[in-house]
Amino acid sequence: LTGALLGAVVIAMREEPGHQPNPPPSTERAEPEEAMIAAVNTPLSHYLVLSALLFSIGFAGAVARRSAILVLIGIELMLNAANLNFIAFWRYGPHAEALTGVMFVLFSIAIAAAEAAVGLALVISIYRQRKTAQVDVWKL
Amino acid sequence: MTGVAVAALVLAGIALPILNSPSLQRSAPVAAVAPVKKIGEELMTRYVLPLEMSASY
Repeated sequence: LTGALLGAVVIAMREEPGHQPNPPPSTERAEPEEAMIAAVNTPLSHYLVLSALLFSIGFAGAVARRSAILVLIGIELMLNAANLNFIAFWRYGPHAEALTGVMFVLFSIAIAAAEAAVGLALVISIYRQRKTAQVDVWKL
Repeated sequence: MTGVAVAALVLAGIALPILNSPSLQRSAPVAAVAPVKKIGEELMTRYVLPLEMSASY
């Protein structure tokens, strides 16, 4: 939090005095083809490395943290990393017109929402009995 | 500190093979277009409807 605050202060100090924070929207439309070409030129490994980063953060949160809420957040991060992998492999695969990756991810998001609801309900229920959300204190 | 070490170990274990793999350096094919309308139609006709039908029996 302190680093984010310091970064915001540094960025605010770097701005020129006459600089408008919100410039008026341009009348010209952005070129969608250029954005599409840039997205197409991105290699598959970049998406996979981003997914690995998300997964590792989530894994560390799920394994090393003691708060049950943070463990749930870590599990959700790992699920989102898997979803990103699904989309990347679908898009870079030989049958991208079949939309199978998108469908799988949509079902996965729905299941993740249900899982988060059940997990939070369990955490709240245990918290009401044990008066703590630290998983190493719980003896189930 | 433990969490950072675990995250770094897991990231190195996954990202290094990815970056060293030559088959993952390819670019995407240009053809794939997935508008929201097509996704919604496919979802409701090919995927959700069969599940609903099988769930009703």
